[in-house]
Amino acid sequence: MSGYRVTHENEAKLIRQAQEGSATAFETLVRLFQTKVYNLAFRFLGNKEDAEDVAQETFVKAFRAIGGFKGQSKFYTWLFRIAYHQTVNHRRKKKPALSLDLKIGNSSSADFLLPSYEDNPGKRLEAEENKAELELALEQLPLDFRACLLLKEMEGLSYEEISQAIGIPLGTVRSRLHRARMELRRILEDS
Amino acid sequence: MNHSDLELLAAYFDRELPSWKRKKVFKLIQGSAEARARFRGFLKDHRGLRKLVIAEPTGALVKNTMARIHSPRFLQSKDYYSPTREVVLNPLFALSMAAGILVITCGISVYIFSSIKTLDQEASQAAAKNKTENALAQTKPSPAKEETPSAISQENTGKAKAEQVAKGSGKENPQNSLAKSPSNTVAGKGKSLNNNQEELPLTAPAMEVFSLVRVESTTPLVLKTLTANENEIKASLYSFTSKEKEIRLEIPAKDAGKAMAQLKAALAALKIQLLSDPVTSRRMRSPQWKTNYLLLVEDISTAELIALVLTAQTAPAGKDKEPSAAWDTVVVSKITANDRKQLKTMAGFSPEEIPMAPGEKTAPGFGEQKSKGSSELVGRKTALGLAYNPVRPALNSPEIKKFFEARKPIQKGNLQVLFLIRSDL
Repeated sequence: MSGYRVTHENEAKLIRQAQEGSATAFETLVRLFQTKVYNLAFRFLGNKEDAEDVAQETFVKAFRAIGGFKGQSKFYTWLFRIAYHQTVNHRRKKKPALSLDLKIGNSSSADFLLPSYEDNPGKRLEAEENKAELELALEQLPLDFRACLLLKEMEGLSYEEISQAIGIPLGTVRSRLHRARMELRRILEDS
Repeated sequence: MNHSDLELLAAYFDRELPSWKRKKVFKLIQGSAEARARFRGFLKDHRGLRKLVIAEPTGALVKNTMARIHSPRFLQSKDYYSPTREVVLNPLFALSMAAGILVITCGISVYIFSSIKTLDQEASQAAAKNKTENALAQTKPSPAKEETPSAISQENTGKAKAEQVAKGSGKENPQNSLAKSPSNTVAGKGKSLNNNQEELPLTAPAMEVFSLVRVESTTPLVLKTLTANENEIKASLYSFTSKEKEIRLEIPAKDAGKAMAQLKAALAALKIQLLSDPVTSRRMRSPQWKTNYLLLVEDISTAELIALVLTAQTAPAGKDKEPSAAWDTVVVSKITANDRKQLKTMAGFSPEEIPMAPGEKTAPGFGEQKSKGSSELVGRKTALGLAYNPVRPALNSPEIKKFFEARKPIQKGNLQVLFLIRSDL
């Protein structure tokens, strides 16, 4: 993310300028939200190239539709909604591919910023294994469950925001989250 | 732990539980080892997920996105994204919409078709019936042809129809042919019906309906008693009372109690005694209670009514009180049947239960009551004042009885006046 300090006021200002057709303002918005959108797409698809395609498509569609954004929800919730639909469409179009990006013990990847365990190599290995197991378990979750869980746990959205982002009722969010947690725990315990 | 408990636990973990449900979760965590284990599991997964690596996009993402946005192809495109559009473009959605439209169209078509068919059948039945009736009327030997309205209309109908048929076909008069034809007999009636199913019923000018009827009614009068010229008010009231003898005066007043008190004072000046029950008197003394009153005055002349209307509003509302107007507008209209009905509901009698002039038929029981009239009110005119909203008068109160017993036949030319004094909220 860029060093641009985002506040509610300047986010609103940027959105307004983008709605008026300012590409520069929209570019700033892209820089602000690219990591979140990309990360979400990556967690959904498990593939860097696909995630980048989806993130790009999300922003292009967002630019087209920004005129219709009325501020009834938060901007990033609105953006996630587009990203989620894009991911679903992408998965529908493309055959599921085996991910090579997230493998157990793939600590050499430059993308991974792991905490230092140099003082205790045993602990480091255990932590890495746990993390890899969790990532694998996450990949095995159905997309609906995974979307709810990621938006809640990684993005910290509220039930209402998740409901707006995915376009499902509040009760369904609660139920899906609960079932996602149960399923994740079951997969982890089985492994 | 059941499914509902687990959902509650998860919602509590996510801080999405309302305070009134939290107590249940506290109890659950305290009382169940399984709940505690589940909670620890949630916490562990939460921490694990928070520690997952955040994937960073390459720098090309912004560059490529903006390049696409700036491309001429993109700028020319009128296409835009919306989640609704995504749904609409779904083939399943389109299919279900098409099916829905088809079902609705079929339903409307069937309805229209059946309606047309029913109308057609009715029209042909009516035409056949009309024709048969005409035929029977002409073939029936009539010794003395009485020209009753129905006979005339039937004849007119037959003639008109015959003329129309003759004009249309250029053939001989169907009346003659009808007399000769076998369908003219009762035996041929069925055949006649079948042959003439497509003909529409015809009507003569004498059969016209919804004709205009002159209705006599008096337009209500609005008098601005405070601002209007006195002569104008007098002229208006004389004009109105020349047409109507049963007058209803509606007075909107800020303080209806004060207006009532002023009317009472004005009545006293005309030597008319106001009879009112204790509830009405109490409400008149309490201006803080909004109350609506009715006042029935009978057998007064137009001059007395004018005096009442003009002097009442400036009469003092009580002893040692300065006169001030309690109202500025009076709406004058005719007492309606509904007014009488409502007065009967509240006071137990209707204003029409009294003869309008001496010698006219007396209302049932009126003579007996008159003979038993209260000695104190003999020879005096009385008026009845009642509070009717929000309190209702007692039906058989002594004041109502007194008024009813003291009633006299209204002199010819005199009026029966119902004042309605409403609190103008």
